[in-house]
Amino acid sequence: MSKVKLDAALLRSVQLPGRYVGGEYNQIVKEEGNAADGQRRLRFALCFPDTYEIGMSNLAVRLLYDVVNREDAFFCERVFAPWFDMREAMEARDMPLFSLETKTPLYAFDCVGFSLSYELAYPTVLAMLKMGRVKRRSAERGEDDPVVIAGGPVVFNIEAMAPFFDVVQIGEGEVMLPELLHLVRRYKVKGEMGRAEFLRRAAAIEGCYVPSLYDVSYNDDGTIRAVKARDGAPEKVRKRLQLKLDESPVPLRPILPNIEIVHDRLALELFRGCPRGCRFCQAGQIYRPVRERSPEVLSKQFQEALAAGGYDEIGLLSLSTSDYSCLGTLCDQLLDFIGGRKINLSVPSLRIDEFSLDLMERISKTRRRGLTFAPEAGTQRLRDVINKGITEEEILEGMRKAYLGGYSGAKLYFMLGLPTETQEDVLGIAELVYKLLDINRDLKKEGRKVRRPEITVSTALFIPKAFTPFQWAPQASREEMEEKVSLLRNRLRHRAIRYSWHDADTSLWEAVLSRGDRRLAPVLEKGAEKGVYLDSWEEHFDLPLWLNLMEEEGLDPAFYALRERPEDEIFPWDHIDCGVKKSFLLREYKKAKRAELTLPCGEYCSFCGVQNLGAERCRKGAAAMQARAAGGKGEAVEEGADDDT
Amino acid sequence: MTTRDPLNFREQVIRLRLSWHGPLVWVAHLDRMRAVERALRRARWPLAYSQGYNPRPQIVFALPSGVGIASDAEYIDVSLEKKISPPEAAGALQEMLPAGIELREAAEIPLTAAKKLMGSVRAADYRFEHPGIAAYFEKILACEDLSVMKFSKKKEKSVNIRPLIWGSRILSEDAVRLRTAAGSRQNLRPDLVLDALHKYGGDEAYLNSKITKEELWILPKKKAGYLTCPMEAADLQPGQAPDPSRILPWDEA
Repeated sequence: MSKVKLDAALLRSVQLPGRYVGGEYNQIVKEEGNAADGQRRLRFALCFPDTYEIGMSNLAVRLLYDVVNREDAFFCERVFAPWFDMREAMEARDMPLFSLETKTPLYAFDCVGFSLSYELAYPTVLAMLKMGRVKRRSAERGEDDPVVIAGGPVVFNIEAMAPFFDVVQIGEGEVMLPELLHLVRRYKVKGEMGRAEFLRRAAAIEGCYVPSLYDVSYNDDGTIRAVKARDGAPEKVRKRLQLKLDESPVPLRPILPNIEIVHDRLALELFRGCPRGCRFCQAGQIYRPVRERSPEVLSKQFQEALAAGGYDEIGLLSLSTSDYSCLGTLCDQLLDFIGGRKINLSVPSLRIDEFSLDLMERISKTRRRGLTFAPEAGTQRLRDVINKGITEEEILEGMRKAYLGGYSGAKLYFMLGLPTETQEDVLGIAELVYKLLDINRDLKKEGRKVRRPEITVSTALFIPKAFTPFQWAPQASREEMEEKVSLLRNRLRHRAIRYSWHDADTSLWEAVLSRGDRRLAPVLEKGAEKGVYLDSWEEHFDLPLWLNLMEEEGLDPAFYALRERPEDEIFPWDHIDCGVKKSFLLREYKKAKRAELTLPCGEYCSFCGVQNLGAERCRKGAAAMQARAAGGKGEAVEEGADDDT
Repeated sequence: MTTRDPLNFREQVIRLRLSWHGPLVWVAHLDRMRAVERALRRARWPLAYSQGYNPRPQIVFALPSGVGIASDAEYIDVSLEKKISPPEAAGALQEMLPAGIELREAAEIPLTAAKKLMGSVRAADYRFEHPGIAAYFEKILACEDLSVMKFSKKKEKSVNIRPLIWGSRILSEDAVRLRTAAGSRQNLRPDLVLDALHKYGGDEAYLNSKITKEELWILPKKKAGYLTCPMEAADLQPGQAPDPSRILPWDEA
C-alpha cells in the first residue's frame, strides 16, 4: 500500500509538526498480515474533523480507538485535520490526507469513520474526504471505495450531511461499531457481498442508520411531508445503548500525545446521561437514561491507566459531576491514591453546594482554581422555563460560602436568547451579578476576611437543538442577540466584573445545521468546493458566504432557525428514535412556557419514554412513581405518560 | 564557606544521557520535557518537586533542542527525593521511554554540580547528513560572513553565524560535523546552518538534511581551562584528571 512520506523539509516548514508524525507512547500499530481467521485485517480510519490537539482531547476518539483495536480482525488508525499551513504544503506536494500510525492515505482504508461532536465541523468533514481522495457522496462510491460512516452526538439529526455517509451510528459506539465493522470486513475483505447488500444488512444492525434507504418528501412550505424507509430498513432507527457501563472497556493504556493538547489528562467517565433535564440541553436528552460506572471499576481503571501513562492530572467526566451517586466514595479513593504521587484532580461541572466546596477544599490545598457555575438565566422565572432547577438563594448562599472559603469570585455562564426571554431577564443577569458583589461587601462590613471580588460573566447564545423540548422554539435573530448583548454589556461595566460573549454569526449557522434537512447538503458541498475548512475556528468563519450559498439553493435561514415550529410538524429527524418520546418533549415545551419545573430523574419519573429501555435507575423511579400514584398521595402520573408517539 | 544545596528537598541527582530519534524529534523543548517527565513517572522514579505554589519536578535539560533536531547527547539532570540505585532505575526507565528514545548512560552526580549543568554548556557537535552535503559545506565555510535571518517571537533580525562555527570535519561526502558555540552565552541554532546552506549553497534540497546533536561540551568548573562532556564531568573526583580523549582544550576569555 502506498504510504505518504513526511520529509524533514516539510516538517520544518509547518507549525507544530508533532501533530503529524504519530508514534506516541501507547500508540497501536498492527503488523500487516492476517488476523487469526486467515483473512487480512480490516483497516479503519478513525477521523476527527478538527486539529490533533482537539481530537486527542476527545474521549470518544480514545474509547473507540481502544475498542476497535482490541479486536484482532481490525486495525484502527487516527486521522485529524491538518492545520492550514500543513494543508497548503500537502496540496503543493500533491500529498493525500494520511493516518498518523502508518501514514496511509485515507482512500486506501476499508472504512473511514468520523466522530462528530459539533455541527460546525461538517464542512471540515467534506474537506477531509477531498484531501483523502475519497468520493464525497455515498451514491458516487463504488466497490473499490471505502465505506464512510459517522457517529457522535450530532448525528441524532445528521440530515444536512445525509448524502455523504453510507452508515450513521445513532447512539453509543462501543458495541455497535465493532458489530458494523465485522460486517464491513465481510463485505470489503472477504467479498461476501456487494455494496448494496452491505448497506441493506447494515440497516438491520440496531442503531445503524443508512440514509440512502430513506426517501424524504417535502411540502410546498418546505417542511417535511414524509420520510419513507425502503428495502427493509426500519421505519424508525432506535439509538444503540450500552446499559451496563461497567461492561464497557475503557482504555487502560492511553495514548500520550506528542504535543500539548487541550485536555492533557486522564479522563474518568463517571456516568452517561444526566438526571437534570434542562430543556435547552441536547446531551441531557439523547444520553438518557443515567447509567453509572461503579467506583470499584473506576478505581481499578485509574490506577492502571495512571501507571501506564504517567499523567500528573486526572479529570472526572460527566454531564453533572455532583449527580454521581458515589462521588464521595470515589473522591476518597482518588485522593487517597494521588496523595504523595503529585497528581492533580480536576472536578468540573459541580453544583455550588456545601459538599462541592468541601470537596474543592480537599482537592486543592495550595492551588486555588477558579469556581465556575452555570445559572444559565438571570431570573428565577427564566431558570424555571429552562428547568435549571437552581434557585437564587442557592446561588447566593453558595457564593457566600465560596467567599468565606477564600475564593475571590467565580466564572458564571449564562445563555441569551432563551425562549420567552424578556429585557427583564437579560437585566436579571446583571442584577444577580451585583447581588454576588454585595455579598462580598456585606461580609467585609461584618469584619469577615474575604478577598476582593472578581466575577467573570460569559454569555452564550441559545441554539435550539433537535431532540430537546425547545426543538419547536425559534432562535432570536442576530439583531435581537446583538441588542441583548449590548444591553447587558452596558450594565456590566464595573471594575470587579469581566464580561465576554459568544459570536452571533456562528450561532445562527449552528442553529440552521442542527435542525436542518437534506436540502442543506448542496450548500455544505458548495462551501467545501469554495475551500471552507476548519471554520469552527472563529477567525475563519464566514457567515455571509453561507447565507449566499443558502440563497443560491433557494433556502432561507429563518425557516430553519427563527420560526416557531407548529406542534404537529414532521421534523427531518423524526425517523430517529433517541428513546425520549416526541410527546414528552412537547409536554416539556408546554411546561416551559408556563415556567413549570420537572423534577430530576431518580425518585421521580416523568415517563419520557426511556423508562422502557431497562435501566436500573429508570425502573426504580418509574416503580416509585406508580406506587405513589396508586397510594393516592396526590401525585398523579403525568398526563399522556403512556402515549406512544 | 560550606556549599549548601539550595534545593534542600532533594537527596540525589542522576544525570542521564539519552539518544533522541524517531517521531519525537519533531516536538519542541517543552514537549520533550513532558515526555521525559512522564517516562520517569511511569518508571516510578521518586522525583523531587520544587516547593511552593505550583510544584514541578526538577528535570533539567543541558541544552534544549529545537524542533527537528535528533540527538545522541541529550543530557538531563533529574532530582530525586529518595536515593535510588542508578543501574536498576535505569533499567526501569529504559522500558518506559517512547519509541526512538534510548537511555545511554545514567550516573549519580554531586548535588552541588547539578544546578550548574545548563550554565556550564559551551559547545556542541552537530552532524549534518544529506547526499552530497560535504561539497556544499566546503563552499559555505570558506565564507567569512554567513548572515541569515533569525526569527524570534515577533522580531526578525539578521545574524552572522560564521563566528559561531568553531570547527568542522568532513565525515563523508554525505555527512559533516560542526563544532559550534552552544549554551546560554552564545548559541548557534543548527537549523540556521541549513538556511545558510540554502542561501549561500544555493540548493533548497538541503533543507531536508538530517541534524543530529552528537556531543555537548561543558566547562566543568570555573577557569578549568578545558571543556569536557557532561558525563565525564559527572564521574570526576576532586583533583582527578578527565579522560584525555574526551577533553576539548579551552581558554576562557
